[in-house]
Amino acid sequence: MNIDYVATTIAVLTFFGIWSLMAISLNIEYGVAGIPNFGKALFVSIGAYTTGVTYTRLLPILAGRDFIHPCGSTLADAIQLRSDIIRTMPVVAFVNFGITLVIAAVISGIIGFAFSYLVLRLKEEWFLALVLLVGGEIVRIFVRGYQPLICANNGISAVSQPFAFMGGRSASIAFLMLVLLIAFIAYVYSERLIRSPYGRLLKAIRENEDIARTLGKDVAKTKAQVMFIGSMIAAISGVLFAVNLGFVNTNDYVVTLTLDVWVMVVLGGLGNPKGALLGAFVIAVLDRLTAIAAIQMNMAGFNLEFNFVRFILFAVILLLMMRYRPQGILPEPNYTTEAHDNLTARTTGD
Amino acid sequence: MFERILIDSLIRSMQVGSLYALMALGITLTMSVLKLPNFAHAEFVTVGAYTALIVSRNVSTNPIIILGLSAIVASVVALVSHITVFRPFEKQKSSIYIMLLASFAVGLIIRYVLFLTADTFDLFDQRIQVPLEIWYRTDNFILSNVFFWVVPTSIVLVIALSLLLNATPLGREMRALADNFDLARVIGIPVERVKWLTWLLVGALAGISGALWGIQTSVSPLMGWVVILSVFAAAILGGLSSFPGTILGAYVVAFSENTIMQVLNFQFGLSFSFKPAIPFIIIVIVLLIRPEGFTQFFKSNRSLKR
Amino acid sequence: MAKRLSLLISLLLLIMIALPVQGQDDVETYVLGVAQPFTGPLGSFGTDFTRGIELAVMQMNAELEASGVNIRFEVASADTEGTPDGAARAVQTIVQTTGAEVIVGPLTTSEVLGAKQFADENGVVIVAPASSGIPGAIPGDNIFRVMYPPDNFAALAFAEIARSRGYENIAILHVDDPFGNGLAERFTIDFQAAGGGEVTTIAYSPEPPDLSGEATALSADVAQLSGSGNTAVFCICFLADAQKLLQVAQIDPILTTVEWMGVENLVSPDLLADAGHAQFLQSVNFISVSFTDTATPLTSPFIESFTAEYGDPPGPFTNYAFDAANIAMLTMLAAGNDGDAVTGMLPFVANHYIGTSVQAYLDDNGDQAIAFYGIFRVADDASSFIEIGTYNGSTGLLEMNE
Repeated sequence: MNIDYVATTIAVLTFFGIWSLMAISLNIEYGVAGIPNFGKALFVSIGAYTTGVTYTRLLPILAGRDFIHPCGSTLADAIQLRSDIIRTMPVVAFVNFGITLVIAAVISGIIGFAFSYLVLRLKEEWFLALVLLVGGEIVRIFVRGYQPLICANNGISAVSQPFAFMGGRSASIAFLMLVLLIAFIAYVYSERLIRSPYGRLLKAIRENEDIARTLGKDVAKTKAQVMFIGSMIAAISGVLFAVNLGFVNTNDYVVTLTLDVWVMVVLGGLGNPKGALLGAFVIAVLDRLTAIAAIQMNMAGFNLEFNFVRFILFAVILLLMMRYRPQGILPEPNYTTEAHDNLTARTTGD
Repeated sequence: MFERILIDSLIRSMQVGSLYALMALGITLTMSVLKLPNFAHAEFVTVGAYTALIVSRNVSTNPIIILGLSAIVASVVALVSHITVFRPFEKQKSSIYIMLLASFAVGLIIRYVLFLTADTFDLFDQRIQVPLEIWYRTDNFILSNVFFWVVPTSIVLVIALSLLLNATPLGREMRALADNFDLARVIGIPVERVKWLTWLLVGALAGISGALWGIQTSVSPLMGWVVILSVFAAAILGGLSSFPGTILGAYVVAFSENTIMQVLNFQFGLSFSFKPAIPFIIIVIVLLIRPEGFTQFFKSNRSLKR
Repeated sequence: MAKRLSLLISLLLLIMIALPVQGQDDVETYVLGVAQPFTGPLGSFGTDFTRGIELAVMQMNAELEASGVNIRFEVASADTEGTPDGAARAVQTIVQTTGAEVIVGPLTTSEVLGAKQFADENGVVIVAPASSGIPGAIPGDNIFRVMYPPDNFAALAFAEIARSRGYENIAILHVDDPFGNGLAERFTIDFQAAGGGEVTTIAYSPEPPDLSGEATALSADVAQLSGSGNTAVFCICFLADAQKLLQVAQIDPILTTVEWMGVENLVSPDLLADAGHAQFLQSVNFISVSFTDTATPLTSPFIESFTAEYGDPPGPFTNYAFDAANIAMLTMLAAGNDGDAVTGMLPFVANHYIGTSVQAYLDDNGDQAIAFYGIFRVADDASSFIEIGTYNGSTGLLEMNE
């Protein structure tokens, strides 16, 4: 065994940060507001595809260079241009990265907002889950076959993270810090959201829409707002996912990505932002540990193909978890307000 | 040429639609009687196909035996997944999303067990040993033995299933369960027994359709997974509750994937690489515009849910 | 439950720690990383590939031991799940937990590009034996695509074969991915440059449930092309997809009347496993290219030792994996387990390496620049493929023995 603990930790934490953004967004949508977003892959992919587009179109403009067509015969030149700019003009790389985050978040937020109005037309709530699941695949098939966006199924490579100019380990550490910072902001935001009166409204809608409506709350609008926020966070995670990988390709944003995020949230605890973080952490660690176990078992001469067993293990853990601890590792805490405390104190006579 | 393409694709729509119908009926049954959107159905189909492959290699190439054993094995797998996974979750009154995730997890387990099997015995992309023969031929089209296995088998099974639902005590009990679960229990219907039989039935349907699908193409661990959303589209067209609606839905999905796709390709040059989007678009449109699917057309007593 | 989970995690950790990995003290062990798809739609490729690599390592270790050299190689293989993201995580895990700096794999161009950024930034060398897609042709990176020549060689070879057999028009069915699109495009250019006539293309979505609709469209294309000259079908597809196509094509009134060509991965006994398919392929004079056992003296020993070790003959591309592993190991013997040194040395070593299929030679992009194909057809008893000629990619010389 020759484990580079530092590098492994950086890698696992980076994935943890990116996945926890996805988990936080789903936790707000489903855990708090009860919207079954089975289209995580769709909103994450919007972030990634936006990255592909801005890195090939916007980046050269910002750097004052000529546009080179990213597909076909000029592909190698276009890649060379991107790496040059990112490595030698860090300011341009950062501006481009920041603009990418904003554009991705806005586009994805609007699409999420639009989707939420579809809910109203749907007969049963779980149909939304299906529409979103399938919507992700429709977009994927379209992008895969449509050259102008990200060179169809060829994808866009050399979409490096903005710290790449630092090179080596410091670049990965800097990027990790950025990812963790964004994840932390999202976490604090969702924590405060839940504790706010607005958060209580969301939970009221989750528990009983009709009562919320009777109390004069605009359920449709509220749900749309939640989808807007959730989709924005998902798209931001998509941008980070793409630049961490350095490659945008439709093969990554499939149904299994959505399922992974669901597993994180259910595992961690629905309705609890700490649960979303924990779920993402457990999956990030478990994914790496089982991969390491597969390598080591293979090196030790086991013939059993542990790579298959990994997936079986994931599914079994998920089932056991949902069966014996359906509220997740960290259950939703019972937030109370001061007013509520006073009221309880008065009625129970304490 | 256009005429030939049209006839050819219509025949194919019929063949594929019959298989979709068999699979989608299973989805409709689980959805209405057991209240479960079962994505593991895909893997029951694959289990059926692998059983057929192994039987055809080691036991017999008689299609009746192949189909029978596939049905048995897949129904056992379905029942086991009910007992070990779905029943405990039902008892726990888990939300439909937890059930959905559970069905994905069950599917994942079965799929990777099949991967392990395929890897160990080198059974990736293998053909079931049933040779293709031409049974009927004209200038414009050809009908193979597979067509004559698939279409009549499906029709017979669908008729048998309708009879079962409408003319037997079990069918009545299943319909009662679909209609109102609590009431069914109160009036003394043996709920658990009916559920067991439903799962066996669902598994058998999936197993047979898997075997037939395998005979038509080839067998691999992901074969069920790649068609499951088309099958869901068919079931959704049937409103997830109506038997005739589901069958019609299956043919509509198959018709759009084959005939409409073919015509769009021939007339407008639409690439076949967009073909997988067709069932997805159907799902979205139906759920948005007409979520009850075809149920309205079939307000007879043959609907599972009235 | 949290307790159970942590129990499980600690159990896994224990397994990992308990497993002994290193051998004797005086022997230095280099780890050769292998990243291949074991799960997902490409799962069927991974096993055979890894076997080819393991065979190379076994032979190398036996030779090192017999010669008293105190270096051994060890294989660390991880699953790419067939996706770019999975490939990146696989390569990361191998490098960070085994100390490997040289990776053989992954399979497809998009997987290779997924692993590219990590490899470039961390001085890790990727030796990809089967990626041939155009988007991977990038100069100055840590990715070497050895042995399996880029698609433009195959395109030329097929264009030559098509012309020599007198095909005037070609109807192509190709998978809609970088490999399929690239080859179809190049072939069309080369075929028409060589005096060929019309070429029609039909793209199908990867992982199709069946290909009957595409077969009908293909049949219509052939019918239309046949009007203006001798037409053939060119199937640029994966083996599983080819099986689905053949299932329909073998009773199609038009597709049975023309001759067929197919890409390299179809030259596999699995394609002939079904008697009906085999008969059809024989009747349509199915022709394809593959590595040839007359190419180099290493071919037959490789096939023999592979069959002796694993019971089956090597599948398509397995020879390239075997060669890639050998090039990687030879470079490491010279440069040590040091990614940067290996990057520097690898082209030199590769350019002096005789493979099982062809001499390795790399161009400026680090891609194989020499191609030598055997040309194969289905044997008369429809049970195997036999070689009927060769195509030399450097000279463009086509030799047919029949």
